[in-house]
Amino acid sequence: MNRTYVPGKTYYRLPPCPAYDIAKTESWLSDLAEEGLFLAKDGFFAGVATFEGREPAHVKYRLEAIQKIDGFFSNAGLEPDEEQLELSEKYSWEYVAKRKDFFIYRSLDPDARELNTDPEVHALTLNAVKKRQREAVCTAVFLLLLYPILITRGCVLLMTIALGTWCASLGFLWGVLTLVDEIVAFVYLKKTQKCLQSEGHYRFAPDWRKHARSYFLRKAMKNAVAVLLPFD
Amino acid sequence: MPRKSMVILTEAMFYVLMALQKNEMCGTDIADAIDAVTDGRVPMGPATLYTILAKFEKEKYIKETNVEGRKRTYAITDRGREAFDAELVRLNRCIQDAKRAEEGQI
Repeated sequence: MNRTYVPGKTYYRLPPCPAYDIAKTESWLSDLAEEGLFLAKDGFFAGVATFEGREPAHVKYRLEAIQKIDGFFSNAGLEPDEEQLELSEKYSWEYVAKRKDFFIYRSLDPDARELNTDPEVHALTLNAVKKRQREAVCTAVFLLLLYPILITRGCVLLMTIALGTWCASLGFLWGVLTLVDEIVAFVYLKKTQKCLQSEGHYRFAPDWRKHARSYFLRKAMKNAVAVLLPFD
Repeated sequence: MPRKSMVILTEAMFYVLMALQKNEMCGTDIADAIDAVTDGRVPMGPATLYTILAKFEKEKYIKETNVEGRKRTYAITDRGREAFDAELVRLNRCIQDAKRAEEGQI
């Protein structure tokens, strides 16, 4: 579908894959750039990506794992390291935006030196993201499985009856979807890291169109459940 | 099977330690030095370089000696020199083994 985008105009798109899916995110952004949509500066917010219309071009996008995200009052993890930014610009890479655990860079130079030139070192960068994701899985397991048992003192069934079928069912569904998402993210990051270490690349299954529909459905279902839950 | 990080240095890691052998340097200078020494054969990507520097600092192979604005200068430590020397010995042994194999000695 060859759609023309007006230069300078802003467009909004929903990402077709999770933030941890590096290959698909890069592929999606590059494909959109070839149609004339360039990711806007700081263009990710609340799960929506903002794009600017420009002349179509072949653009490389690369995701860089954020190494350190400090507490609420710290700037660590909000912007890339300044010295690293300077060196990246020297090699024709421009920092564009941040999406969850990754900084996003782009280059219009097809011969630009890659941000990551050593696959084993690249695999190391995913340790920090994997660690945070492992913590997210543990938190999800605690809040969704152990905590209900603890606060009801084992009487989960009684609590379910007290809440009512719909509320309990929606809550259970939301909990399962959340837990599965966190576990899948962790497993995917581990797989990406292994692929980097053994094969030197992470670009397995980069076709973002392949599971986009199921991703949107899952996300819509989870958001719908989260919205309906307080009203039940 | 992936090598354990820091037991055997990757080529990029080796060249970072090599660049710091004689002088303290900042990240940009390290990248330029590696380009010069290898004649561009070992391209050092910015993300790779700064990951290695962070890892080396954590492992105490290098230390930060000066910060001027956004520029941070690093120097190699004794532990770093030992790691570099050990890797150099290992690489030399690989070359000797290859030569012996070529000459039919093994």
